[in-house]
Formats: sequence, structure tokens, C-alpha cells
Amino acid sequence: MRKLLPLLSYFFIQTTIIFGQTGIEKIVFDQDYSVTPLTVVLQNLENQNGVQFFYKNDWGIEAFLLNGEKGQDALIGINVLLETYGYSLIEYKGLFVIVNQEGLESYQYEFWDENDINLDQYKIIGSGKPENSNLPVLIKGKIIDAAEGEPLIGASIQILDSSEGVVTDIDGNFEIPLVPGKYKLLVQYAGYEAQSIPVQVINEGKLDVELFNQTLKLEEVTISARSQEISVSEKIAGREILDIAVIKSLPTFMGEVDPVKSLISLPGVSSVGEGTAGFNVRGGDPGQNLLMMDEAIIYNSSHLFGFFGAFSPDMIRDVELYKGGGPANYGGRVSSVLNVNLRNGNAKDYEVAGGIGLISSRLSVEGPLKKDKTSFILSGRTSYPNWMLKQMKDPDLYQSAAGFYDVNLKVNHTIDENNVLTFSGYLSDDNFEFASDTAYVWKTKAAIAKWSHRFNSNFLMQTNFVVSDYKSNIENNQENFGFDYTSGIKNYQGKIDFSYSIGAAHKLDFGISSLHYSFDNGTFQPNIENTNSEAIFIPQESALESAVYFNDEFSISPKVSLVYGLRVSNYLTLGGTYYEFDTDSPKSPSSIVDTLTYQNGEVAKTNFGLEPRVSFRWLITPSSSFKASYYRTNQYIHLISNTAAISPVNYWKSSGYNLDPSISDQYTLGVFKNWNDNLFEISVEGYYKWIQNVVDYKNAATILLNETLDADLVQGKGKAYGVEFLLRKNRGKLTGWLGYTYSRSLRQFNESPFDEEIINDGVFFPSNYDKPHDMSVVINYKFSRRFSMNMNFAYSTGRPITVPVSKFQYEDFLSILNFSDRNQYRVPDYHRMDLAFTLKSGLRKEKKVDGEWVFSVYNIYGRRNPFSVYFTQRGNAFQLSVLGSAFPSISYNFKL
Amino acid sequence: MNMRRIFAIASLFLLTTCIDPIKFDVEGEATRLVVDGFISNVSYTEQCLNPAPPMRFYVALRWTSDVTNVLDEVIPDADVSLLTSDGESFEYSWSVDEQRYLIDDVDFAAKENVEYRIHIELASGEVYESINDHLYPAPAISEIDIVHKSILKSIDVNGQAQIVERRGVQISVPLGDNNTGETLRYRWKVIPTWVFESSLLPLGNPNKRCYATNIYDYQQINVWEDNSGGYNHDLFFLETDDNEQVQHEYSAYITQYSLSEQAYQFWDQLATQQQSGGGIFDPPPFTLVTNIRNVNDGEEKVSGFFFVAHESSYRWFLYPQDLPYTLVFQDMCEPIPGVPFIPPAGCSNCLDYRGASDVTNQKPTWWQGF
Repeated sequence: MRKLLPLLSYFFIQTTIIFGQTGIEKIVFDQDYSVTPLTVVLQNLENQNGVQFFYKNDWGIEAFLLNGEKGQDALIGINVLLETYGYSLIEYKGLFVIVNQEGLESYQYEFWDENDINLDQYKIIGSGKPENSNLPVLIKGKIIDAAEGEPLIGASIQILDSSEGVVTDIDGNFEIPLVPGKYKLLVQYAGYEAQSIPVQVINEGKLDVELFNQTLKLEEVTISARSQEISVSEKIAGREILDIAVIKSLPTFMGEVDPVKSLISLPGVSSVGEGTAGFNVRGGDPGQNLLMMDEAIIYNSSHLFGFFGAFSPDMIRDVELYKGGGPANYGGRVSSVLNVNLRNGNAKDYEVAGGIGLISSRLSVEGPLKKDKTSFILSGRTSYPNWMLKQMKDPDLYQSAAGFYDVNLKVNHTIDENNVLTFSGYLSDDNFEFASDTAYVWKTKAAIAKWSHRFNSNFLMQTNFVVSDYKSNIENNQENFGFDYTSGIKNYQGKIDFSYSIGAAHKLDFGISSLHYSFDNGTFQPNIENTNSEAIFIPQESALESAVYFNDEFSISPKVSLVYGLRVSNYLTLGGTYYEFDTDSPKSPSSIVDTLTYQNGEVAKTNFGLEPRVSFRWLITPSSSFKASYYRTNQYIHLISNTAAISPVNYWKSSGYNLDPSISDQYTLGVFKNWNDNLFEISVEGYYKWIQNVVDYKNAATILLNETLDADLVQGKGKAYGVEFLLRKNRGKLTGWLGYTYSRSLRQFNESPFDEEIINDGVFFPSNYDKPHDMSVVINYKFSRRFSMNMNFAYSTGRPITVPVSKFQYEDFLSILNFSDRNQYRVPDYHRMDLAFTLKSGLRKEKKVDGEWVFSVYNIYGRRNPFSVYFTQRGNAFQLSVLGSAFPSISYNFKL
Repeated sequence: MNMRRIFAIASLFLLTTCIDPIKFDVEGEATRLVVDGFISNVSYTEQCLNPAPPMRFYVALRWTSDVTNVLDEVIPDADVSLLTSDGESFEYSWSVDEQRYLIDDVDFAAKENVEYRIHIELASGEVYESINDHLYPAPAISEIDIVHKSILKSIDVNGQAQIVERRGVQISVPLGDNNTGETLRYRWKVIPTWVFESSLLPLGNPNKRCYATNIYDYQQINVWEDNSGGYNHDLFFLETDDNEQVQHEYSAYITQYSLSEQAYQFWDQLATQQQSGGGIFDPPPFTLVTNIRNVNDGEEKVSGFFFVAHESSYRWFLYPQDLPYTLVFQDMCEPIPGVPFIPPAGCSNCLDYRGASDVTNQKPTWWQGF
């Protein structure tokens, strides 16, 4: 019943007055009907019986054809017909209403009785009489952290037993239209205790809610940041959110929480292997993921070659992944968008939190700079892995040193109820000194200034200014052959986003962004004593990527929604030196026929992209849905890496004279089902992705300090397809999920007339990330409120490799290897099980230290998974496993 | 900068690293014909005048084998001939001693502006040919430059790695100005020969002094593309400290080949393959290009290369007295009092010396000094 009245507001109500009908007599068909349009039958029944049927004209029920015999119970016959289409007929106070849901009973409608004796248990919203009690009135409110007064962004307000709900905006505000009546609202936010609030809506009114931090409350870990039915009701296909509580609960290598790598436990997300940087989404390479931290693009997602995460878990609210292009406000990468969302500092009280691990420790401080107005959170991590290197038998490694640190700062200032300023800064530094002579240093710096402004409750604006800078540096200080090598990418970005709600049906997002890149593709500078080497300067490149977009979250009906949008992108390659190659021969330094040099800021090449995005959701029932989506995305910058795993010396290169942007088209279809009051959820989602202009490398290509790199690059087609299966249990002592993906990721390079630029005879071949079977099982079992266990099991098909298949003698060389076509063989399958036990401190709320011990064992049965497979010149193959035995660790996390 | 090595090692820094042999089932890969051969502008007769052993132009035909095999099966019963764009044909004959086909005409030398291709007919009737190639004349190597310098090197001392300084000679070839507007593509091959003496034998013993040659010493392939000239290109560094090869007299025979772009690509790819191991930070391995095709089946996989090279050579000698410092050598044959002593191979007969691929006690005609 409660879900029904809002529907009525959409109905076109036909104009017939009801004459004092206090009871319904049996209504029968007055004649035989054979494939007669339902609307004709209803009209006849209205005429014959003086009753009125209500329905929405645009549902098209005139297409429903009815068969019935004279004298047959008409209401039963009509209901049977309607149910075959997912509709039903209900009686309400003598009226007959066709609703676009099945299985509703008329008695539910009677719940609307105003004489409810429990009326005083409800929170009353509004006063006086509404203009029309059948039309929705607007309920506004704000959700805040009860302890800190900080608005909670993205908290969900859900109408229980209904698919309806809204989330709070950047100020914690929400608006929801409700027809006057009684409801039960469920207010939820990650890491906070949910509240169920019975309300009686009388008229327009206000409802503010304070939520309490869950760590101090009775219930503990939630499995998702979003409401448990969100996988069903989510309007954007391919969107996944892992909240920090879930991320922290997963077993980790050496106790180091890595929010980004945690995503690998989800279907459709994988990595080349443990200890490698980056991740792969639906068969894409790591350079096809847009990684953002509070809107700032981050080019390096890990520390120390991928063994440790780049972000301190203390700073993170949640991690949000769009598998595919996501809504139109995101662009620039063809595989995924990953938002690492930072939380605000405590605006009421000071807090200190941290953790001590075997490799690194972290500390965060937060509190008000001006109570309830300005808050800050500062977090830092530092590492001390050198004790491990000293255990190494290899003298080079024994003499090596490694380390990293990162610092995060976020300041949030509320000017007034309509204006909020936010500043975030991030600094990350890695160093690895090899054998005391060569130092590798790679750094990320990012700063974000954000102004959030509310014109009115329906119209919001967010303005961002972002600077991101990634530099990789190799320094060799040896007297005779010292050098300094640098590469990197720097960008400045300005972005204005608007969000405008038109009633309850449309939520429009639109905006404009401009992103300026400076690419350093490699500079080699020998030091003064090094007379054997010459300086090499790869010509610098720069570019301007601009976009305008709009996106409409259109609720066509409570069941059917369409999120559609268009992103129009423009990419200007500015300045630089480019080569024109002879079209009658393969690209090579010797086939250069002209050199084109453009001044700084001069437009060398213009690219333009139309990127439509559509995501359709049909809520079949409140607990099941069907989704379909299509995304087109353009990617204008390319990660230059011709190895299976990315490394810090890989660099980004602009599309330009010889390098076209990659263009991806992704189609998805999915079915989502929850049952047992959202205790369980299951989903199956298939995808097909087609990418134009993926980049690969000629045989024997050199990517570092290659002044004619364009000659070594080839572009072709990529296709990926797969089915992702997820079964999840959301509540109870035992929670967790089983994810399985069958997928393929293939590449084809056949567009050149020259053999040198064709790979594997021009046929599709597996990409480095093609792992057909990928399964993960995550189980969390709470023995008590203080003691819990987590288990993680991962299995995947081994990644493709190229192996020697024969050898031959040539001149004085006894063995020259013939290799298979690229990626025709596979390393052994990967599987691993981890366990973690978490013991929390006492449950007393007002304790000085809220701490937890985490004992974890990574790779508990000591599987020797191949990190890489290499071959001697004599063709012998060896498998290198970097974590070939069980690896226990202990860490302590605390909050003061 | 060798990024590959450094990152491969960097990824090993964890305690539980382990390496296991692994096998891949690659059976079913059909054997391929391998063609190994070249011709140049210097005939066998002309080579006889050079300070190095002459070599007839050859074509070796073999089958590929399993990757763990050492010596491949040779093909002795093919018909091999060299065809030219002038319509000439030069026959090759099977040599039992060398296990390859040698050109019959000892005066044959490749000429400029003539295209050459090798023609092979197997006993099975399959016919293979190379793609036409021709000479790319380049300035001959007529001198080398040497620089005495030191390098830093990691050595094992009592089980511990130590960085030490090593003296030696950097040998480079001057590349004259290249004003042709054409790219010159070079490959240099270095074969060292040195004198080895058995210290336990008296002077005058025929097996006291030997001339040792090792064709495997400088197997690192040295290729270079030159567009401008006017600079030196490094060939190799000869360590002199603790190097018995330079104790008496040392010589290196440097052959310079000027190649076509395709032949250069073959050698350049081979150089890349030899430095790469297939690790996670390595570029994908690949099969080398070939210019051999089955005339009747263009899809058949064939290995090897037949190239035409513009060749020149230079022999360089190094005497200990040429060095700006005095070398001190420990005599490995000298017994240490009180310690059981087994003389290393070569101490009592220089022909037993094992540090070379070829040892002779016959002084080469071109050898200087002594």
C-alpha cells in the first residue's frame, strides 16, 4: 500500500465520479470477449456496472488482449491477464486501480487508515492540510554524524518495502517527495549504525537525522557502503563500491591494507600477479583505468613496485569503481573509473588514529580548526623494509635500500549552509637504491581545491582545481658513468559540475572540464665525469583535453530508469616534434621522410570525440532487476609499457601525429536478484567491449629514451567479453561473497600492409591480462563482537606468455630461440588462500584507546604462484615465485 | 641503462622468493629449415691476404631442434646455389669437414649493384630462396682508437661481492663523416687471439707457446646505425688486470660488416633477444625475422638469414709494454709450498689450455712479434 500511493500521483485519472459505492458486488463479463483490447473491456465494464478503473495511459494496456466468457468473474479474468504482463488490479475504497506491480493485495491499501491507534509512535512531518492529499509533498532534511556534526555525503534514505530512496548531496542534504501517509524510512551510511524511522507525512516538512559511528556501537562491519538492496536498485550498470570497513576486513600481505588492490576480489577485476602495480578491469590494461583521489588524477596506484597500496586506509571513506566509462561526467580512460574518496576530518573533536605493521606504520590526526565550521585530517605513512633486504643472500640486494612515505591532508571549511570549501593534498614518495649506486625515485604530488555551492535545494555547483604531478627519476652517482634520468606527467585541471533536479524524475548533471597535460617522455643527462654518454632529450609533449557533458538520471517510473548522457571531448596536441614516415615502407627511423616541429602551444593535432552513455534499469520486482548499458569512451593518453607488469619507469604519451586515441564501446546486460529480505544477493552480468586503437609494440621495441618511439608502436583492435557472477550474503555472523568471472581479452593487429607491423599473423591473440577463469571467495565470520575471522581465496587461470618452441644454431651462436606466437601459452594457474583474525579492544564506548590486533597469514598453504617465467638462452624455463610460502604478519590499529 | 635487470632484481626483494624449473608442452611444433650464410665483397682468395684465417663463403642448412638440444641436425643432401640479378649462378658443394656447403668459386666476391639470392633445393623437392640483397658499401675499418681507462666492477671476494676498480683498454672504431644522406648499418665481430705459455715447460719446447683463439669471447652482438659519422663507436672493453690473455701478446681481429636494413634488423633483434629473459619486466620475446621463404609455400616457417655484406677488417695487437702501467700476474702453475698441488690444464702442455675454442702451437703467418 505505501508504495502504491506515490504511483497514483503519476496516473492519468479518468473523469468519472464515483457514486457512493460502499461495497463491491461481483462484476462479471456482460458478453463474450475474444482477443479484445483490455481498454475496450474496461470501458464496457464501467458503462455496465458504474465502476471506475484507474490506470496510466502510457503503459499501453490497450495492447493487452483479453479472452473471457459472458458471466465469468471479470475482476479475476482481468487480474490474470494483467499478471502475465507484471501488472495487477487492486481495489481501493471502491475504486479499481491497475498498478504496474504484481502481487499486491487490497488489504495493504487499508493500512492507510487515518485512525491508526499507533499514530503517536510516528514522527510527524509537516502540519496543516496539503493542497491535495493524493499528490506528493516534499520532505527535506540533513543527515549528519552525531558525534562530529559533519554532514554525511551519500547517505541513503530508503522507503522500506519500496524501491524508492534518495542519497544525500555534498552537504548531507536530501529531498524526497512523498504522498502524505505513513512510512518507515531506513537511513544508512557506511560505518554508521542504520536507523529505521517511522514517519507520518502530513504536509511538506523537514527531517534531520543524526547517525552514530558504528565502531562505537553494537553492530559492527557492514558489507557494503550502500543499502543492501542497492545492487538491485542501482541505476548505473557496472558501479561497485567497497567501503573501508570491508576493505580493512580482507586479509592482507604483511598487514598492509591496499584499498585499490582490494577491488581484485570483485568479479571483473584482476591483476597480473601479486606484487605488481595496477589492476585490470574487464580485460583492459592498467593504463586504461582512471584513478582519482577526490577528483585528482593519480598516475601511480602503489608503493614499491606494487607490493603496498598508495593510500592510507585511515583517510579513505570508500572506493568507488565504474567498470566501463561510468556516467558522462567521467572520461579519459576506456576501461574503468576508480574514485578513492577521502573522508572529512572530525569537525567537533580531535582524534588520533594509526597502525603499526611489519613494513610500515601510519598515523592520522583530525579535528576541528573551527568547531563545526572547519575541520582537518592529516595522515602520514612511512616504511622500513630495509631489515628485509638485509636478509637477502644476493649481495646486490643486500646493499640495496628501499622505502616510501606518503602524506595526505584534507581541510574542509563550511562558509555557510550554501558554500563549502575543501582542500586536499597528497604527496607520495618511493625510493629504491639498487646496490648502493643507482637510486630510483618516483613521486606523486596532487592538490585539489574544491568549492561546493548550492543555488537552491535543487541546483548545486561544484568547482574543482586540481594539480597532479608524477615523476620518475633514476640517479646514478658513480663517477665514471653517472647519469640522471627523468620522465613524468603533470596536469592542471579545472572542472565545474552542476547538478540540477527537475522534480523527482530527472536529476541532471552537466558541466565542463579542461585538463592540461605536460608529458616528459624521457630525459637522460650524464653527469660531468661521464664522458662516454651523450645527453638524450626526448621531445616534450603537451596537450589540452577539454570536455562538456550532460547526464540525466531519468526515473521513467518507479521501476524503470534510464541514465543517459553525452560527453563531447576535444583533445589538442600542443607543440612537440613528430615524424612523418614513408607510407611505402614500415615505420622505422630510416623511413622518416619529414620532421614536423611545432612551437609550444601550437596545435599539432586535433581529436574530437562524441561519447554517449546509456544505462537502463528495470526493477522487475522490488528485489530483482534487469540492467543494460552502453558506454563509449575515448582515451587520449597512452601508458607506454611493453611488459606484462607496469613499472615506475613506464611513462605516459600523448595521442598525436602518429598515435590515435583509443575508443571503447562497451555493452552490458545484467540480472540482479536479492532474497530473504536482502540477506542474499545474486547477480549475473555479461559484457562485451570493443576497443579501437589499442597500443602494442613491435618485436624488439625499445621504449626508454627512444627518440623515434612512434616507429615502434602499432595500433590495433581489442575485444573483451565475459560473464560476471556474484553471490553475496549481507548479514549475520557469516558474511561474504563468491565471485566468478569467465572472460576473454583479445587483441588484433592486422591493419598494416607490412609484416613488421602485424602481430601473430594478424589474428586475435590473448592480451597479457587474458585470464578466462577468475574466482574469489571472501568469507567473514564473527565469533563475537570482538573477535572475527576473514578468509580470502583466489583462483585464476594463468596469464598468457610467449615461450620458446625450438632453437637453432647460427654462425657461432649455438642457440637462438624461436618463440611461439605472442601469448600462446600460459603460466600455471594462480591460487592462494589467506586468513586474518581480528581482535578488537573492549566494547566500552568511552575508552581512551579503541584498538585492534590483526593477525594474518598470506598464502596459507604456501602455493608457489608464478610471478614471472623466464628462459635461459639454452631454452630452460624457470618460474619465479616472489611469495612462495605462507607469510604471517601482525599489525595493530588504534584510534584515540 | 639496463632497466630489465634492475627491475627483475628489484622484484625479488622479498624473503620467500623461490625459483623452480618449469616445463611447457611445446611438442607438435614442426621443425623448420634453418639457413645460415652470407657473402661479401672479399673473396676467399683476397681473404688469404688478410691477417686472419680465410673462410670460404658458406651456407649451412640445419633443422631446428628442441630448445634444450645443443647441436642441430645438418642437411647434407641439398642443392645450393647463389643466383644473381645478372643471371649468373654460383654452385655450392657439401663439405664433410665443415658440415656445410662451400662456394665452389674461390674467387667469387659480391659486386656492387648486383642483387644476390640463395637458392636451396632439398632432397624432398622443397625449394627455398632468400629475398634479394645487395652490397651497401661503407668506409672500410682502417684504424681503431684505444683509451686506457678504469671501470668499476663487482667481483666475488671470499664469497662477498665487492666493487673494485679494473684497468683496461676501451677499443672504439672511428666512424668517418657520413655525408651520403643514407643510413649506414654496421655489425662488428671481434675474435681475439692471444699467446699462452705453459710455465712448467722450458723455453724451446714446442708445446711451451700456443696461440689461443676464442670465438665466444665477444658474443655480445655489436650493431649500430650511423647517420652522420664523425665520432667513435665503442666496440669492446678489454680488462687488463688479472687477465691472462694480455700477459704476453694479445690480438683482436675486428671484422666490420655493412648490412642492408633487413639484415641489420635480424642482427639487432638477435642482440635484443640475447639480453632478454621473458621476465615480468621484460618486453615480450619474439622470433627473429628471416629473409628465407619456401618458394611454393609462403606460410611455411623458416629460420635464419642469408645476407650480403660489405666487409672490411682490421687486426689490432696489444703488447704489455704498450700499457701505461705494469701488469703483475700470479702464475697459476706455481706450486704453493705445503699445499697439495694439481697443476691446472695447460701448465705442462699449452695445447691442453682450456680457455679458448681453438688452440695451436703453430704460429700464424700473420702473427707479429715473438
